[in-house]
Amino acid sequence: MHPRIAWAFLRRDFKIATSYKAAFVMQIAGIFVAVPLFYFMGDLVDGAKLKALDAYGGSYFGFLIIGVALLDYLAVSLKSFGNSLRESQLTGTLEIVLLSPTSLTEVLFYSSLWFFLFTSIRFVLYLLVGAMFQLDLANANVLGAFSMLALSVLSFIPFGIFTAAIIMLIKRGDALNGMIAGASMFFGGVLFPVASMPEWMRFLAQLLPFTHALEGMRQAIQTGSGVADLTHYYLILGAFVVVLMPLSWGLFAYAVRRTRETGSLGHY
Amino acid sequence: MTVQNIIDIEQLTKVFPPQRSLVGRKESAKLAVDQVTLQVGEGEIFGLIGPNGAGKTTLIRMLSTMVLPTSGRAHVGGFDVTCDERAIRDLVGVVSSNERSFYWRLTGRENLRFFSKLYQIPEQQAGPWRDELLSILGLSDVADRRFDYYSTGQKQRMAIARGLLTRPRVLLMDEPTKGVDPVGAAEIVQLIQGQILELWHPTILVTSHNLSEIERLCHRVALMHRGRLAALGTIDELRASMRQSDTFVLSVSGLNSDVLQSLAEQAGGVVSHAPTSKDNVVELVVSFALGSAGFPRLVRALVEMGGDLVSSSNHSESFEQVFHAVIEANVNQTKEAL
Repeated sequence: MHPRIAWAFLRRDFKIATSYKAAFVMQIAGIFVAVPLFYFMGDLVDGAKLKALDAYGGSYFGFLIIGVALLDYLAVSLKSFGNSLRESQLTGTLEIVLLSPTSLTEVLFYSSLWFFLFTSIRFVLYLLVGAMFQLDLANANVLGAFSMLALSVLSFIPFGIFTAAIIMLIKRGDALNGMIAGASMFFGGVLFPVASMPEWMRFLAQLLPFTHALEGMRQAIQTGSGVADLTHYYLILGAFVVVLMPLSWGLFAYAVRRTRETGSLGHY
Repeated sequence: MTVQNIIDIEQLTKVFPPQRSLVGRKESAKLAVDQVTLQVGEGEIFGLIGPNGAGKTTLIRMLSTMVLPTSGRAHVGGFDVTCDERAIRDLVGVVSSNERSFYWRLTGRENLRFFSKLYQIPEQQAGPWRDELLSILGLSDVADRRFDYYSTGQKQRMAIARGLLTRPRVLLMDEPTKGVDPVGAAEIVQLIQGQILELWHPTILVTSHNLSEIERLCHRVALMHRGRLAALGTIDELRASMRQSDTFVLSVSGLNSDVLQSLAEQAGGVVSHAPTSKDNVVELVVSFALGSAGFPRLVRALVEMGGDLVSSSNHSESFEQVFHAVIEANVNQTKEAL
């Protein structure tokens, strides 16, 4: 990793993002609209005193806000690599960027930095605005939450790389993105606890890293679980990383080679 | 490969695989470059010309490692384009005619700063060099303007500036004046001939549809047609190879046009159109078979008849005529082969 190049990408993407002023402001302002909405939904659900929420401190508001905020990370992991690639293909900058001594792998990694940084800002904002609406962060274990977040992102990244490889090969990857994001949102427990689903759904949920990441993150923030308590989640997410990361990079390397053969690197 | 040849291409071929779509016909494989062999010497400015679809851009893309050859081999600076891509990218600068290859919402200076970081040039070198390039290319005044507000000529100059950021040993220029008006194009040619060559004398491989530009810039050219190398040599060599006759323009006084035409024909010449006469001086355009003694015979005859040769010049084909002749010969050859 070259910090100077990483900084150049961050600076580039920040300038481009802020040049679309209205869109940039709306992405931030959206949080200030969503959080109160979640608060009132939480208020309604909490009235029913659902047993399934006991494991999360009994607050649906906290449960929902953490689910939505982490889903942001999944979305950015899925989209950032593929979107950077696709945008470079559409704008015609891909080939010229690849003519540099910086490898495509590095280019993809650096191109995603801004999106992860912006998502992190949004994540913190979700929690801070949530705190204004009585989100209880007093029990949160910061180290546990950070470590879970880092490993969660690592386990999401292979899906983004798969998408980027597919975009290189067939120029579109939206369908795969939609499938993974949709499945994670439904089965992963963003809106309701996995424990409240039928058994076959619970089985499917276990196959998604997002389910484990979200469960671990809620444990760290809502019930104050520390690093030692989260070992179970670290091991599962670690296994996803070990299996999926080499597979995704392998497919990506194949896609690069194939597009150099077909001359379609910059095609879209 | 000799030490002097910085680009060495042998039997290079690129076949793009067939395109399949879910519905409709399957497009067949496309032969884009067909067994091209050529060498470019260190410091040379080499022109690659040919009609659309001739394979020029594909050749440049293979040399810049963006596209893998199907067969044959190509070396740049001694490095193989198929396996030494990193080394070649350190060596080569590319000037693309694609104006979309910049970040339009950044300024020109921000674009150059980004690319110099990407090319891993230390900032203490890159900063002053960027300013110098912007100044040389006449872009200093607009450097802090957003790229989407640039004119086509300014965008093209920015592409040149980016290609020069690394002071590459080999500069691949793919239609550097595409879309630029004639004045702007002439300025770009002047710039290449002047400042760029004066600064560090890189090897330049340039493609263009503008033959007069190529004629001004390059000593040697390769003419591509349908993926094949149709001709290769200096412009004079190409001109000579395509010349079927020697054509002269004569101005003669003291003889009328009918007599002069008759003398020319008696000397074995072909008069393509009737001589013109003005102020008692007749102008005649006459062609003789290559190597014939027709011209001196005509001069002797007209002097003997009391004429006075005011002026004479050897009329050579324009580069454009040579270009068309080569293409035509190539098409005929292909037809015969079929």
